Amino acid sequence: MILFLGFVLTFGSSWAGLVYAPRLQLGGLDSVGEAGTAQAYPRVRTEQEERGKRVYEANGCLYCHSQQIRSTTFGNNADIARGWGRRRSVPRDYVNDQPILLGTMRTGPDLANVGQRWSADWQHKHLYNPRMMVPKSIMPSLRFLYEIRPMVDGKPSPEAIALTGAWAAEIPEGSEVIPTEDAKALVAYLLSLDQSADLPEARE
Amino acid sequence: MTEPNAEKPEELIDFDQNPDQTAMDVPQMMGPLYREHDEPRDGFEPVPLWMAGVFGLLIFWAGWYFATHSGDYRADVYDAPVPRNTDAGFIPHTPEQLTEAGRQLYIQCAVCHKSSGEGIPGVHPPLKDTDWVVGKEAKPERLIRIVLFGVKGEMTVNGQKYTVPMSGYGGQWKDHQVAAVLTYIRQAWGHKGEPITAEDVAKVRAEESARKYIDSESFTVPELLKK
Amino acid sequence: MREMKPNAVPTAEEMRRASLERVAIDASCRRAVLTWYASAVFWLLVGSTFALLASFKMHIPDWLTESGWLTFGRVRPAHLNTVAFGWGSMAGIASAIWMMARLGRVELKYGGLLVVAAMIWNIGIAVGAGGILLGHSTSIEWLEMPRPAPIILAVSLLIVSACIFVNFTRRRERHVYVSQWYILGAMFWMPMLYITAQWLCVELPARGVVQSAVNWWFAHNVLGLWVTPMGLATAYYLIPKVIGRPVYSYYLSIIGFWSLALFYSWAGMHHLVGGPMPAWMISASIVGSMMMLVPVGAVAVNHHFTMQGHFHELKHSPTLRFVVFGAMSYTVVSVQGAFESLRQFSEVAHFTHYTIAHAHLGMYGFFTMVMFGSGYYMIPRMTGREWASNWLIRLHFWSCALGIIMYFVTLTYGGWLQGLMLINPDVKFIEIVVKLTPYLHGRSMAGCLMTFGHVVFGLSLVLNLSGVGKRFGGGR
Repeated sequence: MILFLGFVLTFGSSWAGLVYAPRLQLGGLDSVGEAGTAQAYPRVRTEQEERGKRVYEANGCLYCHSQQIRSTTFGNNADIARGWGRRRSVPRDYVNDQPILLGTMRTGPDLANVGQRWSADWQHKHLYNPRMMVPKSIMPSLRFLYEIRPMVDGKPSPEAIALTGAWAAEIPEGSEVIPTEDAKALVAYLLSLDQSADLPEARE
Repeated sequence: MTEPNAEKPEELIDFDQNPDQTAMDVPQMMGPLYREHDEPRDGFEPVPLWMAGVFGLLIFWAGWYFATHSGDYRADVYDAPVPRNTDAGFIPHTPEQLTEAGRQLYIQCAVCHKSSGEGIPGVHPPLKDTDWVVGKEAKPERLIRIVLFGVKGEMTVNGQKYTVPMSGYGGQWKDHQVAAVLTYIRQAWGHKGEPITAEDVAKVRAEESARKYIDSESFTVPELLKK
Repeated sequence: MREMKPNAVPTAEEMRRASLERVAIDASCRRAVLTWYASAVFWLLVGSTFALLASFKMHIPDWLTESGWLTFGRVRPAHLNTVAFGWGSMAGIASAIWMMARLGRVELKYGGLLVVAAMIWNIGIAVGAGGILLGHSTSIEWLEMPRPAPIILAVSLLIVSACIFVNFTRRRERHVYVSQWYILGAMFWMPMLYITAQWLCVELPARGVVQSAVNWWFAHNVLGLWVTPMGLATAYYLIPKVIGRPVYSYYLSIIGFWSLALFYSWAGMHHLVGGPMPAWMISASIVGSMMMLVPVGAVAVNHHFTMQGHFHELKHSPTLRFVVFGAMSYTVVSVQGAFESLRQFSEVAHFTHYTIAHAHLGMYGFFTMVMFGSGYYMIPRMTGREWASNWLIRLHFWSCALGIIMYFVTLTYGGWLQGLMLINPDVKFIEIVVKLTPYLHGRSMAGCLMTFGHVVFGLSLVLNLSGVGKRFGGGR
């Protein structure tokens, strides 16, 4: 009996401290500005961006990419000095994220503000084969999100990814690489990642 | 499996009723099970003294660490023990202090009016170089009323019409905060406006003591222009 | 509760009775334990395959990229879920079922139900891992398995817990030994943890970073309140069992158990150090992690003094060799973990392979090795047959032991370098990637060694189950 009482008490203490208390303290946190509109920060994502986030989740991007910028006082300010963000991340940056994709590993660079860094075109080429854009990258190619199909009337479609070098030679003559809806959604999501909005609590 | 010891253990338990079975069979049948030591038991050696000492020190350390690294249990302190927001109770007085405090508060205004002060044309009016902030309409009392109670209805700023209402901040901001943010927008972006003080804000509050800090009691532009 | 038994040498009659009792208990556990343990080994092999795939993909990034289901980001969570919930949990449950019966000195009841539970559990893992590969991962670490896998697992888990508790109330031996505390604790905590975490992360998700808090509270508690208690219970059972000597100190056992229950459950937030979390939460977990030195110290001293004077038996008993290797890893990994949680340490180690190495030393060097040891002890008693080949056991031990040591050393060193470069903004990111490649190769080699060991173990187990190997006592 004492045994079970102890089980409940020890377990309960950590539940109260690490689950219930944070919920009380941060569970009600909301966006600033008019919640639920494009004017709020963080803004509500579009349907396509939300779909892209699911592609990000399904393919486990978070096992190599974090989405959090650390403070100027943590780790020699390296996160901000590397240009990964202008300010540290704070809880409010994530109020619309379900699930939240903070990540715990940096095999690849942080993506909290990746939307500010690269264009859609760059992202597509990089996802199709990362080594086309970053020669020494070890990121897996996400080719399966792209479709290789013959050109219509011998003319490339406006959506086609402009391959360069060895990668252009890899696909059959007269065909082109077209992003699937998933690829487009993923890029839309990546472009939406932006924590540059100034928040009072993020000031140091 | 056909081993009797696995399939029908009761046969072997019946050993009690069949004492003729030779004792020698048992060890032979069960090999390792017979050689096996008894189920583990507890010894009762005392805890070494040095361990008790180390544990005591650890508990002491834990108390000290948590006391100095708790960040006052605040939701907006992320890096303990860096003293941050230690000036929470600080009240700005001089124009410089007001501008600095206002710069931080303005972040909340920047969601609409943007950090450049240029707003979003047609949606949220600009503040930079406008009649209302530094031009001919720029009476401190009007600005204070706008921030305290908000504005609704049509409003013309630098010749363009705006209709999106603004909520008041009088309910959540203290006098010196309203003063700080207004002083900031009258100093920022190359403005050279007079500072607005907490006393000015207190005076307006006293004049409008009948008005509630809710959106339905926001000012309209004609009301503001009368004041 | 804790009356002392006379330490006298048992008479032949007593020994006979005791061994008869053991035969009956082991026979009652046979089906349940074999189902759980054999399934566990199956998932270990599957999980090791995923691990190798993921590891090789880190230095051959264009390998197997034609279709989505073998992309790194799916194989890696598939690896984690199959080894943690397939291998680890199932092997732990197998050992728990058997130890509870042995320590309660009563035959297992509801063995059939436990077999059914194992089947349900297997279906859950298969559905979960399949779902991850097909692109339905939730991307919440340690909770990646998509619906309905968690529900299936929760049902099975509740059945297992209930069976263990019911069997505990039927026990004949009134004294409750330390292993039983750990198992009962684990069986009590895990269903609550799993259901709470599923609820707050997936079903009715908490907002923003609160979800991260719940996530890591759960993920770390899977280690702290599920895996670790079962590993320690097994070590506490097998070490004194094999060497035939009481555990050194009951008082240290008490300190070790209750401080583990209290402090481990607070330790999870250090996975979020530096992140967008209020400082007090991180600090609470740092304190919890550092206070883990108390239970770890208590257990280490307790085991060491129990073993003292019997280290030579490591040569003869494969069980003891695996379990003692595991217990030593436990001490090392826990002391390392305590200091790793500190902010100054985390500045370097967080976000790097250093953490991966640490996690493997815990889950593999400690838990998996202990579970191998427990398998080597239990399985012959279940099948009534000795292991077919000592040579295979030795091969298994050395390839796994060398594999995990190589894995740990390589990634700890590589990860530390990675961490130092990450916090030096003058080092370009791609330079870090390039400099890390040799260590990733090293990891793959170590992984091959360990997987080889698992295949050898699988072979041993299949041989034993299929009737190869000497029967106890040469048969009748």
